[in-house]
Formats: sequence, structure tokens, C-alpha cells
Amino acid sequence: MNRRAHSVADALRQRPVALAAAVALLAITLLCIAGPWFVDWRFDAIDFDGTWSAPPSAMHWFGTDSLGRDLYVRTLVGGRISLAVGLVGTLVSLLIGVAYGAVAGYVGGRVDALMMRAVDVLYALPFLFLVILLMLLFGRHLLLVFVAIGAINWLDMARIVRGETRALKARDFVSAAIVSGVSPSRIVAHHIVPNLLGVVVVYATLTVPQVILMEAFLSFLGLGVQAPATSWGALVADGARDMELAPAALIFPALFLGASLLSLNLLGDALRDALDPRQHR
Amino acid sequence: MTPALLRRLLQLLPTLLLLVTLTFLMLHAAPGGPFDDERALPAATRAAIEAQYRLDQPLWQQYQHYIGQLLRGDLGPSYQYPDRSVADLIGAGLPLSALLGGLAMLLALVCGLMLGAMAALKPHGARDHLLMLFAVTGLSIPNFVLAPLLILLMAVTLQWLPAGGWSGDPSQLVLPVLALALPQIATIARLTRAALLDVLQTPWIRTARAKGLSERQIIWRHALRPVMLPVISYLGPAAAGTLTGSVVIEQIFGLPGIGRYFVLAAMNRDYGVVLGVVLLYGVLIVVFNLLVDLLHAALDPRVRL
Amino acid sequence: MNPSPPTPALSPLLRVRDLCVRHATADGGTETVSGVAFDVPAGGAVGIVGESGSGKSQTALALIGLHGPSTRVQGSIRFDGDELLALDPAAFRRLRGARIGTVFQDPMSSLNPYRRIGMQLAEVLETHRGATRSAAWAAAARALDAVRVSSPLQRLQQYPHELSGGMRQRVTIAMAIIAGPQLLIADEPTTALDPTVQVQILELLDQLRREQGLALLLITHDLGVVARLCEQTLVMVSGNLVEAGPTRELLSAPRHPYTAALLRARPSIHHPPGMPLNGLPGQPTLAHESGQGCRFAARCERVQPDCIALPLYRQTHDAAEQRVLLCRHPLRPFAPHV
Repeated sequence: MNRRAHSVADALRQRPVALAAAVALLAITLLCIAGPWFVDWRFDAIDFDGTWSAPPSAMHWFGTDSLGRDLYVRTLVGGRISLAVGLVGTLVSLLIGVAYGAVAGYVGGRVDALMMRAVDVLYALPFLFLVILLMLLFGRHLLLVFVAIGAINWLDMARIVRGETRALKARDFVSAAIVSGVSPSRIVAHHIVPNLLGVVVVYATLTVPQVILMEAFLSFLGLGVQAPATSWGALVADGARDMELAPAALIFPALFLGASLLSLNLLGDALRDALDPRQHR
Repeated sequence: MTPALLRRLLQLLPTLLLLVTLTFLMLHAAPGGPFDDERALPAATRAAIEAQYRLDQPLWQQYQHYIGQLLRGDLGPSYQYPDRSVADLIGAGLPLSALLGGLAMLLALVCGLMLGAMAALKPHGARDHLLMLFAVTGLSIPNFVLAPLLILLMAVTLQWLPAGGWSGDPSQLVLPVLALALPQIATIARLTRAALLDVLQTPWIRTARAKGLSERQIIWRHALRPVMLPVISYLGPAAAGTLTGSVVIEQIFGLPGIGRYFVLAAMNRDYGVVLGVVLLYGVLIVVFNLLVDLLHAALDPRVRL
Repeated sequence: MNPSPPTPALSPLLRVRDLCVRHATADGGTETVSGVAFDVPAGGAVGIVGESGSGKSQTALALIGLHGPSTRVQGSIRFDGDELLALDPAAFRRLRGARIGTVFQDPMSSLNPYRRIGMQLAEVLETHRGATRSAAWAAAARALDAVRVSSPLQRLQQYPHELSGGMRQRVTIAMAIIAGPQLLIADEPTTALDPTVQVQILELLDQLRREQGLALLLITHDLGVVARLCEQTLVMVSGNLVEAGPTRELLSAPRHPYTAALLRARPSIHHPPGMPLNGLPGQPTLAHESGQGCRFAARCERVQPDCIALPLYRQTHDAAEQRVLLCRHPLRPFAPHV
């Protein structure tokens, strides 16, 4: 584990772009967490003295939205939700995907064939449309967004983990454990899963931006977070509505969303190159 | 039709059946029926309407009926516009959506392949790094963010192109197609670059060089096919992404396509239309994946269906 | 130094002098081939023997100009009167495949898996001879026949994965000779094949050389292969050519300790079962790791302090680079007369 952490640090040091991405991501996260503490506005408070859709000023750093709410605070508070959805959604997909993939890959045979056929069937479904339906029909809980998004993304993870598990199972140290009579559950827990960690970390890093993107998509359609709470997707939708009047309301959330996704993608690419050279020959 | 192809077609059935069942169950399990808003409706009228749409029957009977209907190629009536069938509504939006999606995919394929090849032919140079930075940026700007930004720049500020609407003027499609295609261009360019770099390092490309072939011959005769393979495999997910994207893009640019109907119908709980559209998208994605597999098999002599 | 033996009347087909191959890397660069010199006469057969990392394959790639873009090649390569290192890329390209054919090690991966055999053969003639498609395909069938491939017309329509390994190597040989080159470079042509197939391929190469008057430059790690095919043998260690001479002489009376060690390391059917094989101890020294001294010194049983301390000591017995020795303490010195 220590060596792996070390190689991650090395990977970042050798790739200045990835290092910059990591720094940017950290800065955005810290800003989203701590930034709202340093101004007097609350994200849902309306400034009745100021104007609606005001341009950036000393009073409102990013301007105000069409209801006169401070956009600086809203952008950062929205960022908390977007980033949290990204993390939790990824975690859900990770748990399902690793468990499913490891079992299918380890057990093999007909169970594996059946489990992977099920993944193939699910793969072909237009999932996002089902999620849209789900949101429309069952109300718009944030929790549902987490679960739905996580439940979509596990398919990729399951396929990758299954492939890795099969490769690991063929390796000598696993054969050695099998012939020494170690129980299958113990082999999976002690020999397979720890060795999957590198691949899982890489793909988790690449899943986070996908999840954030999906949440933003749903919120853009008005199906994600509900007012007065907000996220970057919802802010972009609000901003797009009256961008001719107040372009700042579109540009700032778009900037934050774009910068976060870009950083995550750059970071994921670099980690994949460093830890999983086979995927990126 | 070969037996292999027939088998592939049969394999599509579970996916489609699952799709129909999921959608059907979801719609019927949802709290609130399509006619809940019209509270003033007398009980008798209400019962008559529900009987007309078979909402009074047990769920499995409605399901059976729906499946039977589908097998006859009938998508049923719209709940919102009783005088129009779902097929009608879809048919009205389909040409525009198909044009939008088709143009976007074509643009993505052409630009993606070209940019990816440009990057791979001089790898690790300034051009390569610039193109790949562009690609990863393209991946990171969702099309629903890009679309309003494009409108802001090209339509509002510069006033070069119309901001939306549809009256048959091709210039109205420029921005929507661009917004829809950009993330796909980025992905295809990255795929192409990786595949081309990979192929150019193979022993058989070295053999081709040892035979004295020109770089142009090596690219077109020897490298093109293996580079196309991952790109073609990606066309399945790309089609799904384009369909999904078209929902917001049609919304943002006010284009009367299927995606827009879908959102409207979902808001109005128009079961028939929603089910019809999801089914259409599902079938499109499934069929597209099949075509991709067939194309794959046609290009790679080692792959048999 | 020594009275010069009669030099060959004609200038050789390939004349390599002071060949240096250097890979540019971030920390300066590594030299994989240093100052190699040899001749290949027209119609002759020369073998280069060495272990992996000896620079033998780098030498072959440099000869046909297929060293990578980050690699520098210096010295002189004269082929049939042309200085190859002075050729512009387009002229070099016209020479490859047409006048110098190349066969690579792994027939599994040196054919394009996505293209029919016929197309891969025919394109050589279409490129170099401007042949029409039908003429090129007809010639492709004849070329397959020449390398003893059965039912050639049917093979033309097949893909590489449909052929066996030996059959594929015959196809790559056919591809290398289809345009009638003067020189055939074969880089480990039999290493990836089964032993019985290896013998067949070697016989084929020998036959083609006699029938078509091809010169053959064979690169291998296997002394048995050169013994079978080559008149002249060169031995390389870590980028240096350490010994060169007529094959029979070199194998029967090796002068360089490395050549002797290689001969001893060959397992033979007379080897008593259970006895350990005579492997070479240690790892090859990389060219850039050594100083000015002998690059075999670390593994040499005859090593003396001056082997490491003093620069390389090169002896040539005759002007045409027929016999070369790079050793201060050889097993036997050059005889005054041969």
C-alpha cells in the first residue's frame, strides 16, 4: 500500500499537468467547503437592497441571480453538492461493481457467463432515460440521485474488476493459496481484492467526473437537486435562462463545473498511465 | 440471413423485454395517474376514460395488452393528445432528431479521426499536446454547458448564427450540431490517437516499412482498419450519448424533435409517449450496437459472429 | 603487420565500416552498436551471432534505415555502390523491399492480421515495379510457389491467422524476395518456430540463395544456424564486433573467449543427461555501462587487469575485414599465414 501511494506521488511529480490538476481540484474543494464562511450571504438569502441579476461587484463577487441571491455563495454551496454526489455516487458504483465483478471473475464458469450476460443486457438499456423517468415519477430526492447514478456506473467497474480478477486467479500466488486449502471467501478478501486496488482507484477517479456530469445533466433538466438547494448543473440551467441579461450567472458555475471535470479527467488519465500501463499502451 | 446473425438478433430480445417491462412497471408504480389533475371530472366520466385506456384493469392485463400491441407495431394512443397516436407524435419529431443526431455523429467521426491522426503522426510534439489538451477539455465541458456558452458567444454577442428555433434554415442547426458533437469529437480523437500509436509500433508495420511502402500507403493500407476498430466499437456508446444529449440540446435550442417531446410528455405523465420514446431509444441503441458488431466482424477477419 | 592475403577482386555487395548506432535519451544517449565493420559479398552468406542486447538486431535495422527517429546512425554503409547513410528518405524507401529484403523474427506478428496474404505480397510489386494488380497477384502466387507453399492460389485469399507459423514465415520470406533483391537480411528467422520447421526454413533460405544468387545476412543467437548456412561469421558482444572469420575456422578454432564460451554453451545430443549445461555466467554488460575496456571482461574466464584498464585492442588479419579479433588475451593468436 505504501509503495502504491509512493508511485502515485511519483506519477504526479513526473506529470506537471496532472500535478496542476490535483492542486486545482484541491483548491476548488477547499473553496467550496470554506469559501462561504467568509462572506455574510447565505446561499438562499435574497439581497433586497441589491439588484436582481447584478454583475460582479465588491458586494457580490460573482454578481447575483435573477432572484437577487449571491452567486459566489451559491456557486460554492452548489459545488459542495456536485462534489458530494460525485464521491458518493462513485462509492456506490464501486461497491456494487467490485463485489459483482470479483464474484463473477473468481467463481467463473456458468455463473460468470450468466452474470456477465446480465451485464450485457443491462448495458444496452438507455439508462439515463430510465433515471429521468424515475426522477419524474417518484419525486426528486437527492438520495435517489445518488443511488440512481451509482447504480448506472457500476457496470463498467464490474467488467473491469471481473477481467482483472480472472487474470489474478491465474497467477501463481492465488493458485498457491487454493492448493493450500484457503477458503474462497478468504482468497477473494485477502488476495484478490487488495490486488485490484490499483485498477479500482484509477477507474474510480475516472468515474467521479462521469457521475458529476450526470448529476449536472439531471439538475439541468430540473430533475436533480431542488430549489432552494442547488448544484452546478442547476446553476448552469438558471444561468442559461437569462444569460443575455447576466452572463456572469452562466459563466461562473460553468467555469467551476468545467474546471473540476477537466482536473478530474487529467488526474484520472495520469493515474491510469502510471498505475495501469496496459490500458494505455 | 445467416444463423449467426439470427442468433445475435435473438440475443437482443431479453434486453428489449427488460426495457419494456421496467418502463411499464415504473410508470404504473408511480404515485398519481395521468388524469389526477382533472379533479373536476365526474366519477362516471373518469371511469369511462380510465376504461378507455384500460387503467381499470389489473396491471398484468394492461401489460399483456401493451406487449400485444407492441408486437403488432402499435405504440398506442397518446394520453395527452387523445386524437393522436404515439407513433404519429414520434414520426413528427423523428426527421429533425435524426438529422441533428446524424450530422453530429458524422461530424464527430470525421473530425475525431482527423484530429486523432494528426496528434499520433507527430506524437509528443507541441501539436500533439495541444490537440490532446483540447480533447480532454472537450470531454470536460458537458454539451448543456457548451450550448448556452455557444449561444452567448455566436448568437448573442457576435450575432453570426441564430440562437435557436427551427424553420428549415440549415444555419439553425450549426450550433446544436456543434454542441452535440464536441464531446464525441474529443473522445474519438483520443481513441484514434491511442489506437494509431499502438498500431504504428506493431511488428507488421515494421514489415510494411521494410517492404519500402510509403507512409501514406502504410497509413491507408495497413493502419486504417485496426485504428477504425476501437472507433467503431465506440459508435455504440456514442449513439447513446448523442441521443441523451439531444434531449437537452433540443430543449436549449428549441428544436421540435423527439427529445423535446420526451421531456414534455414526462412532465405531463403522458405514459404512452414516454414509453414509446424510451422504447424507440432503446431499440435504436440495441440495433446500433448490433450494427457495430457486424461492422467489427466485417473489418476484422479474426472475429466471427 | 601481416602479409595481406589476396583481396577479393570485386568490391563487396555490402560494405559496412565504423557503424555506430546511438539512441538519444534524456540523459545523453546509449550506444548499442560501436564501430562495427564487415563485408557481404554478392551471393555470399554472412551470419551475425550474439545474445540479446549485443546490438545485432540494431545493426540490421540500421542497414535498412528502420532505426527509430530518436536513433543516430554513423559510419558508412555502402550497398552496391551507393552510400546508404547519404540517401534521402525517399530513395532509401525505394531501396527497401526492392533491393534489400528483410525477414523478421516473429511470423505471427510480422504479417498484417487484417489483410489477405495476396495483397500483402502483391503490394511490394505494385509499389516498386509499378505492376498492375493482376500481374502482381500472379507474381505473388509464383513467389509462394518459390518458397514451397502448397496451393498458392488459395493461400493468396487467406488471412495470416489461417496459416501455421512455418507457413507464415515462408510467406514473409516470399514477401522479402518477391521483388528480386540482391540482399536478404534475416533477423532471427527461425527463433519463433518449432525445431523441425526451423530446419525447413533454413534449408529454404539456403536454396533461395543458391537459386536466385541472393546475398544473405543472417542474424541469430544460434551458432548451429550459422554453421549450417554461412560462409563468414561475425560475433558481437555488447555492441562490439569481437571476432570475425570464416565460419568453419571460427567454429573449429575460436580465438575470442566469448566465441569459445558460446560454443561450449551449446547443448548437444552427446551431452550426458543430468550434467549441468555450460551456461555463460553473469549478465551481458550494456554498452554504455562499460568504460573503454573490453565489454566481455566481467564474464570472461581469461580476464586480466589490462582487459579492463586499457582501451579495446583490435587486430585485423587481412585488409578485407575477413578475420577480426577484439581481444588482448585470445585463446590462440592469428597464425602468421593462413
